[in-house]
Amino acid sequence: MRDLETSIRESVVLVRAPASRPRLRILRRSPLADLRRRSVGPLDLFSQSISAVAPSAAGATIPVALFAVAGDASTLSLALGFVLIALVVATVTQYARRMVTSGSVYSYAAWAGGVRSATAAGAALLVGTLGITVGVLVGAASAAEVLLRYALPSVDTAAWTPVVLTIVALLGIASFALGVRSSTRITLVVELVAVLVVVVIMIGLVVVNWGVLPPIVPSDTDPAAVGAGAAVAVGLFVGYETSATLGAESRRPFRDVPRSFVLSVGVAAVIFVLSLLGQYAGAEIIGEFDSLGDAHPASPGTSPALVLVLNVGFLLSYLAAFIASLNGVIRLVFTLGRDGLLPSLFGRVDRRNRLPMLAAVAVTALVFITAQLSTAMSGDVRSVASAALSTSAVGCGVAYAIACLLLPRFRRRIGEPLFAASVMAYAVGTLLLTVVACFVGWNIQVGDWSIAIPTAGFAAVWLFFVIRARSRGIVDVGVYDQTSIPDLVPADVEARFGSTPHDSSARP
Amino acid sequence: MPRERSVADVNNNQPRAIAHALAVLEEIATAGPGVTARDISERLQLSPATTYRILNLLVREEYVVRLGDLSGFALGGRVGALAEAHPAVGITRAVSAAMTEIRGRVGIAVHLFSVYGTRLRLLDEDARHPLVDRARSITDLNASAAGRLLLAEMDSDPDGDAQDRASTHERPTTVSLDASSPRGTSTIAVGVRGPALLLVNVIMAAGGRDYVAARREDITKELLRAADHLAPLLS
Repeated sequence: MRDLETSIRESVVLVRAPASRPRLRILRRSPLADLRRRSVGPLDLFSQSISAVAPSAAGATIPVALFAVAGDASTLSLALGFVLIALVVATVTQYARRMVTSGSVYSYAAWAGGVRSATAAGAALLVGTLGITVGVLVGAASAAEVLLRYALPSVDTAAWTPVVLTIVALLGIASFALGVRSSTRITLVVELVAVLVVVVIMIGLVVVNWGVLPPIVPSDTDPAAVGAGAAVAVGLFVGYETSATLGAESRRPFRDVPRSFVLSVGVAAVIFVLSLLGQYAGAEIIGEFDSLGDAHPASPGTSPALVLVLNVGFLLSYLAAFIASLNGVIRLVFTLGRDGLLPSLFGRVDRRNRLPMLAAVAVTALVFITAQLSTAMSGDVRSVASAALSTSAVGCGVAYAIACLLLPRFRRRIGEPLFAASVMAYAVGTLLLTVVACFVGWNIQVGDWSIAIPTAGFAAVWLFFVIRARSRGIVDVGVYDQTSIPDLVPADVEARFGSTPHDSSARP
Repeated sequence: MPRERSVADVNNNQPRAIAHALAVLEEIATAGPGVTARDISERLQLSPATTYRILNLLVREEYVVRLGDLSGFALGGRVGALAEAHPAVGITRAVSAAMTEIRGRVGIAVHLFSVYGTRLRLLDEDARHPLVDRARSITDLNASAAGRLLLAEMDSDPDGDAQDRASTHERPTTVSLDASSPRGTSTIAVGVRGPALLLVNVIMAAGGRDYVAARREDITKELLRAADHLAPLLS
């Protein structure tokens, strides 16, 4: 028996790893340990993603934008966008299976590519997600305006915009402060109601106008327009990655974060197709292809009940999207604060509710002020919403593309290089950048200079990050939820009772 | 013949994949923490793509964790729970006697858990009134007072910082979880702390909602006393 034991021990010694392996250092606690770790379940992650995508509101308003861009080729653009987003999800998921973060795509790119990539990806994602957040806030105001216009026809509804914006912003920060679980549950219920409303109406429109289909084969194809349309289609899904910002707080992040990506994009795609068909068919009712939600309830040819119900759905969807987007941006700002690209103040976690409340207040204030100023200055909620939409498509598109292009480097760095994955990642990243470039080009071509907002915003934030990184000598970015001692097999239960229960400098 | 069908459901490649997964797990255990995907793939002569897929699956299921720079692997907490599901050494006679005594005093079920990393392990279940859903009581930390106590502990001091350990400040001592329905089971849990106030065990009483509600203070007091009594025996 002793011989056997000896031989087993020796055989273990034989297969021991080479001595050249660097000495391991296992942290006693994760760098993100002050967030409430392991408190969020799969349902919360899914509702975070799906609410941030806001399929009911986005699906009901964006097809109009898509038709404006791609015209006849809309179906083709949509299909291209779907394929592209599926590939992006497949690429980004490879990060999510391997690291747990609080800054989603930014953290992936920062860790994989270092400071230079971090500044670019951080600027793109920050501008993009701030864009969505402002967009959905203004969207909520525009849906509320339609409802108010009907309820109080004599009052000037534009006067209501600041009030609605204030109420929604307050609701947003209040639900953030309630904690992840409560806020994701609230958004899930709200979004579910919105989706139900929109789906029922769209199915109704399709059935009533059976056979009215958007053209599948375009009459004349301008590749640039198809590309620009694809960017709008990718823009539909922006926000799906926000569940990754809850990674550090998730109970089973390696399983649930990738799953929430795939599930939310899949569900949203179905709703988008339905919305496109419904709206196209619905155009028969209104007479022109216009966003159903923006129709004046009293204008001839519309059904006031339909428009009202639809706008209740939009209002709910925007509300859910606002809460969810806020959740995501705040954690992104928190992560940027931790990495040093933003003041470290934002990287602080409130002791009581374990949430980055300083970042929350700053982000909400910024979004609120931007929404107020832009609606007041332009006097038109729709143009603000459309500029915000472009911002999110450009910003998030660039951020996704950077993450895709850095995937091969990431896989090499962690010792898991794979040729096929690298080729795929480069292809997806390049295609995505091309599509975004087409979108920017198309906007310039038609003279819509609101595209300057995301471009200038991105450039300004990027410059700020670069200067800050230089002047502060930042070299270490990409904070993530590292494995710490409690995640390992306890070395020895006995050791836990000794005077030094945890040896921070690891095991052999 | 449902049995045969369930075997047929495992498709032809899956048994081999399962065997590979176990081999990878074994390799990580023998090679020690920090082993890389490349080491494993070479040692087991698996293709890199297969190795990565298996490793990421094991990471997803938390049998394996990634270390430091994400390139090294180590066994995860879940393997520990697996290995220790049936502890070779049970509880000592002194602990057993103490548990019998507290059970007699309280009159409802009293279970003893040990804290194992971020998990609970059942150390001594009340034989008269076993846990209603044993697996859930252990795996779902939100389902019982014992689990909530552990969650609160991890919250107040995520990974046990030595400086903070000097005081019980902000550390939970008692957690009570009431049943949502009148026929459900309410639970009260009290922590047993070792040196440096590390949470090592949890004693949990479980009983009918009304019974527990009526005698909450007495039960808690008894549990706290038992915890004091058990602390030197368990640590």
